[in-house]
Amino acid sequence: MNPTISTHDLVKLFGRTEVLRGIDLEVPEGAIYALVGANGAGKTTMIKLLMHILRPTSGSATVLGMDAAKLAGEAFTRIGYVSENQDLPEGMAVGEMLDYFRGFYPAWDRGLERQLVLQFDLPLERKLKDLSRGMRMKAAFASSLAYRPALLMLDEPFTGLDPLVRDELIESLLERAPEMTIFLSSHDLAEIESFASHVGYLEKGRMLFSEEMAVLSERFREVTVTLDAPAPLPHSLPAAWLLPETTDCVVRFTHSAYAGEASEREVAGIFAGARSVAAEPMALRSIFLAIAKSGRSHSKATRELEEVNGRTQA
Amino acid sequence: MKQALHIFRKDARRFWPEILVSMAALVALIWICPYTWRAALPTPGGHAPSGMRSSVLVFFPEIVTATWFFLITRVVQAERLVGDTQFWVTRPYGWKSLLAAKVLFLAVFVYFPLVVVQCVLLLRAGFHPHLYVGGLVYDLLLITAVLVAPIFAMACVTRSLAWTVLTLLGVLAGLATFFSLGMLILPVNAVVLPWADPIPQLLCLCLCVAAIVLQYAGRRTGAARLVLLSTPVWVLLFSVLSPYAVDRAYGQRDQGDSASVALVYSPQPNVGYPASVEFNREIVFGIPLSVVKAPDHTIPVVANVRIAIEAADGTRWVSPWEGSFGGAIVRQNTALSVLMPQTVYRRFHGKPLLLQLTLAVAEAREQSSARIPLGSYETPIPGSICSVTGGWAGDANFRGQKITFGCIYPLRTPWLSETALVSDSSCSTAGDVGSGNFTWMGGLGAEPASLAIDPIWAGATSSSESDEPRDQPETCRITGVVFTQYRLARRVETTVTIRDFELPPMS
Repeated sequence: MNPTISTHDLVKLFGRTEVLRGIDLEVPEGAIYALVGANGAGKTTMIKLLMHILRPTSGSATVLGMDAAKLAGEAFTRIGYVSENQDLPEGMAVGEMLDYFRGFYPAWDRGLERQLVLQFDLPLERKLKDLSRGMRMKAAFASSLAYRPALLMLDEPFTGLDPLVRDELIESLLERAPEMTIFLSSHDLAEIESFASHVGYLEKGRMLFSEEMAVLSERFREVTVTLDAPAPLPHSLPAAWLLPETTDCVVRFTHSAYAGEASEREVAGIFAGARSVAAEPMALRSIFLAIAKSGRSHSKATRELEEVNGRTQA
Repeated sequence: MKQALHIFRKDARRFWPEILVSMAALVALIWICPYTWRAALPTPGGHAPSGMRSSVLVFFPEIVTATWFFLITRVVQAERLVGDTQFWVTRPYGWKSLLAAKVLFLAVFVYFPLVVVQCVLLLRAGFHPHLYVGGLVYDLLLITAVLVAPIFAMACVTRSLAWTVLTLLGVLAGLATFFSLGMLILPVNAVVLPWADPIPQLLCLCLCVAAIVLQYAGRRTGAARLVLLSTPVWVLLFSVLSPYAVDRAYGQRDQGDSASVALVYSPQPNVGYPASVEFNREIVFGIPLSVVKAPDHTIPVVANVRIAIEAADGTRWVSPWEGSFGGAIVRQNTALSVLMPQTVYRRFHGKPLLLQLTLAVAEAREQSSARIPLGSYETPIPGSICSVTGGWAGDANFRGQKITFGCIYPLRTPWLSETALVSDSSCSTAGDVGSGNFTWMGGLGAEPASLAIDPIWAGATSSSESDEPRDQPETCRITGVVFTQYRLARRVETTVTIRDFELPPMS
């Protein structure tokens, strides 16, 4: 099966700033793909490149089998795009906007439109500029779902929304998820965890991982090792062990490549006098935090090392 | 096309207030413009508006332009082209359809009403619009090149109306600086190009269209802005190439071409042609020329001049092509103004020189001549409608006849025209002929229209003929004017050689 989205060595520079650094990504058809990352990680840029709102500096991407750099016009009859930053035709009332957009989509489903208007309780007579943020997002969702797109791109769609509106939107997405591929960016991990089938983690323009949610959950474990007596951490630990810390007789770390018994044997080998080893599944939020923190501490350590090297050379 | 119509309908519904304002301003011209023409056409009742009212009304077409500015900017920016948050870029808009929708909008709400209003104005002025279809189309092209396309292009490369207004102010400030610098750097009398008019407009149109297409086809704002910002470079290039264009347009006259005009140096005894400093820069002085040969009913108009001087010691100086202050009409003993830098003047002054004038001459041939008696009101003559009033007037300072002559012209500034006063036989031995040259106006440009929203051009002039001596009875009576219009027959380059010429002393 061809992936709905595929990128190869995608790079985007803004001036000298490298916002995306060689992104390789595949989103299978029917997936709900969540692109997560801290603010400024490059999520929005990534989506804008895929939607041909921006042009890549180098690399390539395909969306629904089409070159993303040529995505325009009719191609968007199969793609929906909702973004927290997107403008809407502010001078139009909600009903006017739906009427207007209807003319562009041969597959526009008026029944579904009515259903969405009712479901979101959209005020058809009110102008978009007079609506609350939540209502505007609902209107944007309705105008992007009514033509049953094959791909729905959502850029931070739930940011700043109250829980009620957020749940309404997620519910409506899930109702229609089986008939389309959804690609969304978010840093609200709790909401992603509940429905995403795939997740990609972007940090400072690099894709640290991109995989199925189930595989990710299997791969990450919070490992607690209880020792007989207090002991310092060994100098060399496997790279997959993130954020190791020790308190008295307890050593904790996040295992990012957990593989059942093999990993337990590896832990037992390093901590020969361990009284017990416990490996607990982790929530997406905890995984995200562990990766983020380990990335930051790695960067800090690298910077410090570079400074020391610099001083030595001087 | 279906999508373009869909977008057009949306714009028409959404921007009806802006459309209404623009239309109202345009329709108001039907009542306002005639006031401004009437001021030029003398009438027996003198129902011309007061000076202040008239000067306010003269600017009304600029109000129409301002309404267009807001209308076009709002419509273009309804689907903003700058930025990355527009709703329409991720909708199934085809760029050609979007651009077509905007062009259709302009056609329906700017061009069509404009043409209708211009036709009504032509009719009100007494001209039949069907005779001026070419001119109307040409005027639309000029309006597109100079007003609509630049506004459209600016709206395309700016984020919002506020930014467009700021850009416009910046452009105006830039133009003012550019021309001020140009006046400081370029010679006082710039070269008059035979094809000067359509080229800058065409250049402006091409740059604007390039920027618009770049934006619509690929939202390449940086490139589009660069295209628009390159305008001064093109203008400079245009200026640099201008002298070459004079040579090309006027060419070299064949030696055996007996049909052409011939000019000679004709200094008059006891008449001085002193030199003076123009604008504290170049030296300007007159060289008297006369026509010794010209085809029937033809007058030479010197558009550009190049002067070469050589001293006995072999020192030589050749000027570039100079303009002749808008075109000098040479008859008998016409002093043709030429310019030279002060350093050159100082180097050659007081020496006998061999001077050669190369003249780019436009031969203007009489096209029509009409005699209009005094007291004629709104008399149709070929290509215009004119009125002549006047009569005896006298007070402590003046006694004589005051003549006022005014015409209105459809779509373009007048052709080169001569107005001569006609007096009765009691005035001179010559009898019923022109008692003197009254005025020259207009130009030889062949364009069917001049840039304007109001299609009627007006011009008026007055003359006071004193009747000396004051104690004599009123004998020399002005009976009317002869109005002669000329058209360009051809362009030729000719030379006048003067030996033992001395640069005139400073006045």
